[in-house]
Amino acid sequence: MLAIYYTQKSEVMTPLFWEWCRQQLPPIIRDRIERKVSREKIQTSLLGYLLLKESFERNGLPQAIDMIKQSPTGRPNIVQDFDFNISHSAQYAVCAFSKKYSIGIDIEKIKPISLEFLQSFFNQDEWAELHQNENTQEQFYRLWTKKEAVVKADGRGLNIPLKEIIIKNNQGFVERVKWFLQEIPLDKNYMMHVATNEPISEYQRVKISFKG
Amino acid sequence: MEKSALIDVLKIQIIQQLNLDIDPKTITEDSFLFGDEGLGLDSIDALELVVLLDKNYNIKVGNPEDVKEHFKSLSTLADYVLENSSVVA
Repeated sequence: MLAIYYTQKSEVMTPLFWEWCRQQLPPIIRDRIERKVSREKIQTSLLGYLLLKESFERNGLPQAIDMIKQSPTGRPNIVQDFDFNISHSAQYAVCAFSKKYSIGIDIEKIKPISLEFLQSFFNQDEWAELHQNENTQEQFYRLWTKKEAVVKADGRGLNIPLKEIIIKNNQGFVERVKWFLQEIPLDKNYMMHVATNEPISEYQRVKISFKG
Repeated sequence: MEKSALIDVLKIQIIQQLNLDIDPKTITEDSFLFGDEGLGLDSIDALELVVLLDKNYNIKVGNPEDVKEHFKSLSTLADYVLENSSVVA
């Protein structure tokens, strides 16, 4: 089973709410998050880890949040028989959790980007495919979130050159390792993909509203 | 242009182009651009920086691997601009 937990930041979240969020997390995670200088990024990171804590609790692992370590490439992980991955963009934080699959998830807000300056970041086939599509921007975010989901599932982070991740429809390849991709619809202004080491037959999408 | 003056310009351009809620005074030339510390930029932000360098400094980042090395901090970014831009002398 694969669960995708998500939450949305809102204007009504007060300083008191954010303080409550901080207090929910172990100091080691809190300190790491608060080394950023952007308040918005701190807030979405807090929500991401809060979702992770919630997903652990819902899956019978209330202590797991205290055991998080960071891999040398920066991917938070626990050496256990489950996997998880967090992503955030603009107003959303998401957390994928599974006791069966290795997973990577990426969400991006679809905002205009000047692709004409970025050709060197794509393979020839990818570039051609982007421009065959009626909605080039949306197609770019589709391709990008697929690649990022694969990179995050792989766990080596940005140490893999993006051009070496080959996307063919709903499969992604890093060296000889194959990942299966699923687009997760959430909001028309966002694009989200999850990568798993085996094809998934079903997934749960669960909205979480934190009240503080 | 002096490196320190360029860093001040880059700070403002990055904050504007990436639409960040950051007070320029809170970042130093050694603040990390990506990752857990500092500005906390993500991979799409990296692409926005590539666009910014092309539009404002006429620098074509031909090799995406260059990004990792030169986009560490404002200081490394300013060095990269000073070495490669035909606009800033």
